[in-house]
Amino acid sequence: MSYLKMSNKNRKRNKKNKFLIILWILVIIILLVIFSKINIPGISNVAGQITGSFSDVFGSIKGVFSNGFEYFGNTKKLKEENSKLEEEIEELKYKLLEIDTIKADNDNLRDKLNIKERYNHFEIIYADIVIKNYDNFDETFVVNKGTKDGVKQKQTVITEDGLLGYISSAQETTSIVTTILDPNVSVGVEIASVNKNALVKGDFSLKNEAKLKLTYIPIDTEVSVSETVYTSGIGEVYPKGIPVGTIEEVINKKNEIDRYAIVKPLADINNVKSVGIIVN
Amino acid sequence: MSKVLSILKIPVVVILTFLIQIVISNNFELFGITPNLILVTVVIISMWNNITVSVITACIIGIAADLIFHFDLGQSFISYLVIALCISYMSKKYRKESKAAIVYITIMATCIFTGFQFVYYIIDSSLVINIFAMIKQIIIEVLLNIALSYILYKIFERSMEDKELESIYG
Repeated sequence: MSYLKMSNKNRKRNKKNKFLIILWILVIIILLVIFSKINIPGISNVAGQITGSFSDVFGSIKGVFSNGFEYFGNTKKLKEENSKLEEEIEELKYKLLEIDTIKADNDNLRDKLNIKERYNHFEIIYADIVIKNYDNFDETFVVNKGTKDGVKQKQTVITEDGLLGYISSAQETTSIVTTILDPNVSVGVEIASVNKNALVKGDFSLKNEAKLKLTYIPIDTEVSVSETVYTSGIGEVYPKGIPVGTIEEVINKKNEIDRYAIVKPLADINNVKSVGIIVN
Repeated sequence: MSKVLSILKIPVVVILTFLIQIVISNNFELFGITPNLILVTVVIISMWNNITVSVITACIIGIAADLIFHFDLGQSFISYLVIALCISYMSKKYRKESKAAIVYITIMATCIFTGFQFVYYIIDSSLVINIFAMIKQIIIEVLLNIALSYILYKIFERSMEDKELESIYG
């Protein structure tokens, strides 16, 4: 009995407490609203922030609901927009591809123009490299110009930077270029600073590093690193004055006759895309 | 219909091989060495088909390689023909499903091909080649070709053996 009485009392107290809590909350909210309207420094600021955050929360909840309804209402419109955007993306991708192609063409043409400007005293035909040889003994590649265009065997092939090689075989529409890296190729060169002749040749052990060997360096000739060597014009293939490469290292031997130097070609032989063939 | 498809298979494989080889040699090299997809194709076809199919394929590939890359007939034609014959004669000594067999035969084929190139090169130019540089080149080439043949083997594992074509050529 006494237990029931106690529990009734507790319930009444709990109700009273709940009522008081709700009352206090209401008072606080009313006060906050009032303070946010009246400009009292400090208090109004805090009140403003609190009411602001309340309104933000309610606002965002309202936003979610209204946007949600809007979303479901506008699915069709969104789908249309999406397909339109996809089309635009495809168009842009195509344009990007087109720009890349134009850029490559532009680079190619610039290379050719540079060759023309640099070697304007020669008659030059421009060609593109179509196939590089896959076997690892020959340093050759096929270009898209042949006898039909005036290309003949033993004509000199150059890039904008320097000597590349010579035409070793010519067909009607295509020709094979053997580069100066090929161990079969020798080029008569002039060491510009001392005005002396020597021989640059391809070397089997250096060709994979895209380097050449400078041999037959005249006795008592000082050869220094980073010096440029040019074609001497001796022989029937290469005209005089075409830059071949720069001396990278001088290897001295016991006999001065045996000494040689390693030359780095000026032409980027492994990455060249278009070339000039000196036809006259 | 299936007979026609089987006969067409070789030209299609040859054309695709050449196109991919041109792309590879124009754009990829490791220490100045290019992998030889054409050689690997000859190896795989010779391993999985009888002597007649292997020899015909090797001849077509060799002639095409000579005409495209060298403008004259000989070097590649002879090399690929010898490789196809060697693999066909050895066919009873290995299991073609074995991965180890692919590796060993690729090594052997690369050595034969490089050996022929070496002889041809010496006859053509009478140059003395640094033997260490050549060994280094062969090692890199062998490794690249093994990788390539393993990839090809995995890709075409199921479609390599052509009973139809073998029945046509006996």
